[in-house]
Amino acid sequence: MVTIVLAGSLVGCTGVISDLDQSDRGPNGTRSGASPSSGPGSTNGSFDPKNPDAQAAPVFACDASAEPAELPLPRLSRVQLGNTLRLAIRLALPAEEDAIWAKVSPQFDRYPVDQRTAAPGDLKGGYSRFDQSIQQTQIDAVYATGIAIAQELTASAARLGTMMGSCATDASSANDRTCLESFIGKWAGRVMREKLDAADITYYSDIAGNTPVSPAAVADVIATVLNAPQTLYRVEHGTDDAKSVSPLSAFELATRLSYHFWQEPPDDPLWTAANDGSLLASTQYDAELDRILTNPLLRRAVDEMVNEWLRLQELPPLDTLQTDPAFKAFAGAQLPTASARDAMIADVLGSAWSVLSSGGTASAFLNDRHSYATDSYVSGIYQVSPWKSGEPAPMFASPMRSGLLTRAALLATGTAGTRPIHKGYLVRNAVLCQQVGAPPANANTKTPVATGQATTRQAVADRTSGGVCAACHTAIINPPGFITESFDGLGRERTEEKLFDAQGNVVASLPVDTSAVPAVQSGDDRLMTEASELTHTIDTSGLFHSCLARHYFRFAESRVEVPEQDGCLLSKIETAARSNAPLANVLKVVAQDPTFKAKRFQ
Amino acid sequence: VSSHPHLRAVDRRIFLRGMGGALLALPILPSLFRSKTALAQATQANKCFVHFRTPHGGVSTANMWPGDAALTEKMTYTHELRRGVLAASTSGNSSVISPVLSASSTVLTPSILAKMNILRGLDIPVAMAHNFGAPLGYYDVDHGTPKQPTATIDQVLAYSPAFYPSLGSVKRRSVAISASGSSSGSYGYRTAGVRSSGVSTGAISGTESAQNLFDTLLAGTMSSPATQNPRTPVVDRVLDSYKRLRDGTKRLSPEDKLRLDQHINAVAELQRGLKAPLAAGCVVPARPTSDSLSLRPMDGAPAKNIQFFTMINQVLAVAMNCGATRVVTFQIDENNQALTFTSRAAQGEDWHNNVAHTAAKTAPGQDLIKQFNQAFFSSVYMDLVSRLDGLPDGMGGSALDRSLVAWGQECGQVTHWAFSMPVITAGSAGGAIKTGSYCDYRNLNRRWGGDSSVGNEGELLWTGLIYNQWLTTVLQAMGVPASEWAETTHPGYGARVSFPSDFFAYSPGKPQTSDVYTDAMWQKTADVLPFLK
Repeated sequence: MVTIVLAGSLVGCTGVISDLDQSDRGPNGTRSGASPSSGPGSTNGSFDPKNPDAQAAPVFACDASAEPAELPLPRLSRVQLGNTLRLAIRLALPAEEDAIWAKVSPQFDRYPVDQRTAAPGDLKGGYSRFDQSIQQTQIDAVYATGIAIAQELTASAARLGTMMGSCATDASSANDRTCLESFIGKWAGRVMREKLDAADITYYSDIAGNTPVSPAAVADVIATVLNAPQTLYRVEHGTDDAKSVSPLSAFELATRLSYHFWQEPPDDPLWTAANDGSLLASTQYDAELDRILTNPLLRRAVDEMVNEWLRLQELPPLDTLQTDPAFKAFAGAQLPTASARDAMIADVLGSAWSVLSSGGTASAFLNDRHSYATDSYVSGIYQVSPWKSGEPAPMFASPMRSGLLTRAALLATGTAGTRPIHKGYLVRNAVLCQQVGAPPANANTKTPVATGQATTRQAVADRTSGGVCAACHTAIINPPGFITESFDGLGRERTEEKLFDAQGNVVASLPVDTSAVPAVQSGDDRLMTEASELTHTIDTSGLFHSCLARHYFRFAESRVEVPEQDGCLLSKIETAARSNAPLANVLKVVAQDPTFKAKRFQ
Repeated sequence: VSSHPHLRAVDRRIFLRGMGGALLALPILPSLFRSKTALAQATQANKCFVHFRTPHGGVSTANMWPGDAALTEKMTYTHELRRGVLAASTSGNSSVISPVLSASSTVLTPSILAKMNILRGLDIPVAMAHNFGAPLGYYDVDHGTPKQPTATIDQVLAYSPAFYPSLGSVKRRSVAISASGSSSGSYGYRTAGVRSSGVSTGAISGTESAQNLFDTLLAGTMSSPATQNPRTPVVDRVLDSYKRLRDGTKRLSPEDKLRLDQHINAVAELQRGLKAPLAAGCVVPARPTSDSLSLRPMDGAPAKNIQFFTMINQVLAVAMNCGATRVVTFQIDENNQALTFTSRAAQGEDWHNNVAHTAAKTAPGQDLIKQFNQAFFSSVYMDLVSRLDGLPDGMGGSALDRSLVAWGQECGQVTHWAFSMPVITAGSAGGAIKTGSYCDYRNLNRRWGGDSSVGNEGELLWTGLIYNQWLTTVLQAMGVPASEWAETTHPGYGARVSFPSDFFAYSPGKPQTSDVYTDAMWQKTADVLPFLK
């Protein structure tokens, strides 16, 4: 009888894991494979057991002669587009923004959600910003939304008057064209993020025809502007046609800054700095950058990046087994609420934001032991009081809860069991940016569950210790997941794993085994038993910081890196992160890089 | 009556009555066609293609297929093939082809049965594992990017001048039904309809809103209020604004311009759709008063799961009969849509991990898979089939007769493997394919003894014909010429994928992969599948 080994040996996991550095990339930036002898961190030099806390060698290197790719005509993400349309309403009728947005939301809801696609070699992950597709459904939905907004903004004489001034509603028609042109110059310029010249203003004014301030005419102008290429995309012409790499205009630069850090168009001060050209002066630019990085709007981008980097949306709903006797018995008094999942995700995002906004570092984020749970359920998991806004976040009650890796969102499953494989892959791939070969097509990917007298760990080990599975699982995937087996499927600390029958009766209570060799770096054979050890090792290796650099690059550039071309910027971010610069300064690196301030015309 | 224990009995009359008769659109009048040629042209111009994709496959041999005794005919092709007349037995109020392929006798009637086919033994010869696009031709192994991305057949159809010789009343060339933010399984060219522009590796976006579909296809709510406003339509202005930038003097990179071209194409398509009138005689029912999306949350609520799709079917049947669209794809995925057609909730990946992956080895898992697929077949797939068959086409037939409504699955009888990818069809595409058959394309001399890890079902895997041939058959049935899909590596449609050369080393006879999926088989991928012509 032929077994799974056959197919596995042909198509599946090779046991290879590597950091994504330049050495294992093909000419197009796709992985070209790695030596079977390579292991975690092996491409970064040897692990020194006498100095185990030494950082691994940097992952990225700069080739000053390399030419980074330019993302052509970037499309606003769905989030950015929504914020832009809201700004368009707010600029016109600030007091009615929320009401009008609520009315047009059914149209905007049809705009497709950006799809996340994993980077080559990763099995999961990816960023919404990667989705640069141009699709019919997008065009259809934004058109309908633009029409709806235009109709709302021009729905009454009062609104026209508020939006355009009394010139739009007075008895005189002599000033109508001027009235419209003035409106276009101010409103449309902001929406389209550029200073409209006379030809532009004439172009859009002509759409109104010979009744420049009639509601129907103004609505047509508004709808056209909201669908214009300068609204839906970041259109950049540069300022020097003679150069292949052309400096951006002040407006283009302001637009890059605001969308990157705030997910929305420039605000008034930034617009002013663009309008008067002061943004192009380094001192003013730095001042604006500092203002941007200390503004609460920054959280929009930080939340999105952290959410997608750490794949928080993979946390399953926690309340779907509420009527299951076994799960009820397992959860006891802590049966998850419908909001528990979102609260766990918010806890991670709260950590990231709190660390960043308080001047904290990447290490501080990894090691942060504060609870940001504002609800009683998740704070109950952490055995602390709910966090109240304006007060210091409480510390985790248990020293076993070491930081990011032990936050409930990274542990919970919504079942009575844990997911060591999932946890292990998350640490390997998302936290350390190490790749693991895909499982063979016929891999039994059913979640191993504790049964009889075997813990979840034992079930995982039994499932994955044979045949081709062992190559990846035994030494690479499973160990980081085993170390956090001291937390159950709801993220609660435990020393024993209780097993239940279908009726919810306890059939066994077995001690959990958290010992494993996570081998964060190749050659590191230290046995660990606590999450704090794993966290410490990850932290001191520098690989978490390098991984942050990689992911921030992807988020910032809306694309997967090509190390040969992008090594300089990647290296700068990595250096900042590894030097334990404040996270805000790490974020700043991108905006200070010359590539951010210029466009490459390929 | 559905045999599903949790489902309310549903029959065709109830559906039609529920629609108040308003769905009986009559877009085409027989008197318009005075010759056979004109009739044939009209048939070609109104063919519709619908494809349902369901997740995981994993329906066991016993649950999916009719018994081998039904295969009464044989023919020699690249290997011996078998066929039988498609038949159903009666069990209570149900007609039963197989445990999964069973439905109310009032729905799965002898007349409908004669318009259906069951195709077994169609393989994608690669370790396919999980995928979204494979049933339509985008072989996204393990949800990754294919080595050779291929536009799915629905998108080939949508932009084929042969399939759409006229776009007169077409509001949308194609419609995808899929969960927001997840893959629809449909992939088009980077520049819509332009094969040389390459295939986009981002799936086209779908919708799940019945009201949205109604507004887009039937209500015309996106149109400028032309009767009240004689102004130039805004869409014209928008289109011009893109051309102004594209052709202006301000500096853009070639790649910028390419993307502007893609956007211009989409705005032009929007413009065309907005201006397209509904076909003469098309009777549009009232806009649905509630939306399919309002049924959520519905995980673990099978009746709601079914209603969700029947609300969508209700709109699509009218839209297709009115010619507002002629290509529809459904991407049904229990995880992304949080539905299982059973009382057991999907719970994210729980269904995948604990149901689909146990289905080949354990009875409880297989029973859930059966429930899912039987409920889908009887109450979603057959619902649309029944609706279309109830709509006269004005030429003595029904909308179903000029359509091809297919059901494909993510995998074959064992989750992860793409051997014997099930294909169920209804409608003859205007007589382009023969119907009423149970076709078995497996090569019973080629058993793949590759996977004992999944239980006995893993030992019931035989290789067959190449799935590309089925997809090519669809394109040919829809009248699309080879120039729009033929490959250089084989004459049919789609990527020529392959297992490693020694993949069958443990099979009887230890053949090389090239001995199993022979070049001769690949050279026949442009043939209409045996028994269908």
